[in-house]
Amino acid sequence: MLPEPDPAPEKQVALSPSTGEPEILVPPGEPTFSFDTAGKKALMSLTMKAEVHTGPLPSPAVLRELAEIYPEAPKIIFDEFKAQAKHRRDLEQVVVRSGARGSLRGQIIGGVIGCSGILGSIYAAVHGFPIFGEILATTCVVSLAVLFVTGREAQKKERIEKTEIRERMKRGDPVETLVSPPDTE
Amino acid sequence: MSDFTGHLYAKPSLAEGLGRTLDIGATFDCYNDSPSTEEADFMATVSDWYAVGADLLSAINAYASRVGFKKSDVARARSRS
Repeated sequence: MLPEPDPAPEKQVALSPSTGEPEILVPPGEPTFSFDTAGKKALMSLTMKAEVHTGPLPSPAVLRELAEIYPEAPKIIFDEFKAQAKHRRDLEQVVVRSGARGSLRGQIIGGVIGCSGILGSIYAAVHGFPIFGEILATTCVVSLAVLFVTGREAQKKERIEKTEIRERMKRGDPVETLVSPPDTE
Repeated sequence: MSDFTGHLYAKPSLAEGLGRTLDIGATFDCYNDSPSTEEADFMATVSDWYAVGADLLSAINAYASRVGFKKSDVARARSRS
């Protein structure tokens, strides 16, 4: 007499001890037996299933479980996700726009400094102060050139730092290692 | 916020604008691009969620500080969870 096969075991959601991510586990049930009478073989099979979900939103199984406790929960989670993303994009837009405005102001100021330096030096040279004119022109051009070089270097450094942060995020480093929270000691 | 936004470009500034006066070759216009559009989308979403995590962390630390917990207590509680 063959034993009756076990009913499908219920899914369980648990946090993975290694990754901390929720895992949907189907615990191994009792092994099932079957006989191949033609080949005169006895077969034993054991099934175990594990699913891992990773991502910004909870897994569908977790959402379903939350909905059982509180039916509005998935809607709240999705709405909050959308609202938070919009809020963050709006903030980014403000930051980028103000930076771009600052950059434009810098270009205008730089242009005015450069032009007035060169025109002033020509005026000084024509009116009998050639050395002063030379110094003025050199100072203007050199200071703008220094700003150009240091600005480029600072920009390059910032982009390299951001690339490193991107790489660390891609690796999944914990958020507290990427920011410096204020000391509460 | 600055830790997790604007990864594709360096933040524009007044000094950069002054330097741009001599940037005839448009050398300031460099970006951290992604190898594929999928990865770009992935990184954008990941950045958003890191930013949310950083906000939460900041709120947790602020609350912990308000109720008199030490930073080490918060770290210990987190390692236990």
